[in-house]
Amino acid sequence: MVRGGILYYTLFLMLISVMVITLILMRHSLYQQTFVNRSKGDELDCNIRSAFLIYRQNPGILSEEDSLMIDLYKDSLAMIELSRESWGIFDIVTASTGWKNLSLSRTGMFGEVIDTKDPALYVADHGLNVSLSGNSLINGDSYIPSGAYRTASIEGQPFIYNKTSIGNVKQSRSQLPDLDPIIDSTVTHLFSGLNPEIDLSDINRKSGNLFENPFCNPPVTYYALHDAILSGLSFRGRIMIYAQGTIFIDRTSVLEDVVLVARRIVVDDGFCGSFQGFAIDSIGTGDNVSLTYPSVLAIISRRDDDGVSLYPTITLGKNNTIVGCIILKAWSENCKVVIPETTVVTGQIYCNGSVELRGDVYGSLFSDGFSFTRESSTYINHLLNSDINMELLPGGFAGFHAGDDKSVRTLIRWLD
Amino acid sequence: MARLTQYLKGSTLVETIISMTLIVIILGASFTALTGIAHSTLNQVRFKARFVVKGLLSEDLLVRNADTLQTDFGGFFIEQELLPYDDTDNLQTLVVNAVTPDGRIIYTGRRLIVRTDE
Repeated sequence: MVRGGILYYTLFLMLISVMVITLILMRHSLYQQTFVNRSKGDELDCNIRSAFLIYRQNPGILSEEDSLMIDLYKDSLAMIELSRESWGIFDIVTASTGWKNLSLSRTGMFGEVIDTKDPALYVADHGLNVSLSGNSLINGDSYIPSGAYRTASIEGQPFIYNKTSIGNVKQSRSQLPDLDPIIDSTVTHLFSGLNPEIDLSDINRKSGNLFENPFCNPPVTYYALHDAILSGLSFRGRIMIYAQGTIFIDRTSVLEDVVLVARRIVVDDGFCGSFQGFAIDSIGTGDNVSLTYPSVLAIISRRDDDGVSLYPTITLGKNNTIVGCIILKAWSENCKVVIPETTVVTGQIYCNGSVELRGDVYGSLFSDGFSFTRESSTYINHLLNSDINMELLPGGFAGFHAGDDKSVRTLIRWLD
Repeated sequence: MARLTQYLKGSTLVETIISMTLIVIILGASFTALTGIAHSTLNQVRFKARFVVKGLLSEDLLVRNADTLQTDFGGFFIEQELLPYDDTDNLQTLVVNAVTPDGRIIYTGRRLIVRTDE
């Protein structure tokens, strides 16, 4: 005989039912929580991208080494913190946001958008026309003296095409468009505000030769009191190398994203890598050098700087491939950029002196004029067998801003 | 030989009434909870809507006209709307809503996009 009334069975049934219902409700609650977290994650991601878009369209909202809080939609529901630091001529921008215990942060390297709206060639107007000879051709908009090209025959090589340029040709001003003032202040800071940390001579080259510092860390500065010889060493990431004399880079070195600051920079034949090199006096590359995107070779000096050179020069070797920017902005009118035959620069060149251009430029060139010497003759504002082609600049290229047009930034790459 | 006959003790009227009340309460609570879940907006449609909205917000340039655009995704509609962005002339706010046929917003997202003048 089973003892017990219906109430006991009912209580047991109730217990089982309550457990089942509780499990269902818990599952529902967990599912909802997960869904809300994922949705909020999507929203934070959208907000981060929107904040980067605001910066890209209005880079001026972030002054140098600054950060600000943005209320994206003015409803206090999407608060983003944006911060900017300079890395050479480029910006490292971080956007971070959060909700409850969720937080999201992204860091990217940005540069100025360079595309077909930018001039392929800008030559300051000092009353001398630009003459084209041989197979020289300008593909893209041009700003040149008197607003028209001339053709000429040099060294027995007449101009071979029917048209001198593909694109609009306008008259230039007597002054080159101004370089982004932030670059000036950044370079000044590079030369004056360095904080030397590790003496290059203290590096034990036998124990290890790879030095890497991710961009999430503060910059690390290696220095040399006189000359720095980079041979058999690898430097990657947020690393600055500073030498009071010359930095020599040989082909066994590996450089990636680093910043070099020195009086002179010399790159050996056959070197391949990417760096931003800032010098006072001169920069020279050997033959068969390949500088990958986004590399920078720059000399920016002012009259009141210490020990400025009277003849600052950037000289490229033969058969070089440079993907990036070349900047020569010196107070001296004797500054010069030399680009020999078989060398191709893909990117931007800015020189407030003369450019000896015998190679090709796939991108944009700002110059006070051209000059080159053949035997006993010196040719001013003549181009011989040189191609300046904006159409061959890769899409999404990031460089520096010059001129009065609105500045717009683009992503070089994410750093996290 | 097994006994085929068992004797159950009879229940009192009070026990029976309490038991019936508890059973009704359990059934009622179960029905309410499960109905609530079934009718919750957190269902497969909302899950699907999240992916659609996320995909649309991931694209850089998708809405070229300033008018509201409505698309049927089977079970819900997607409304896209471009609003002016106060701070910057060349930016717009893109709002994407997933709306049920009875007009209830089940998922929403927004982001800034570059203005296109086409």
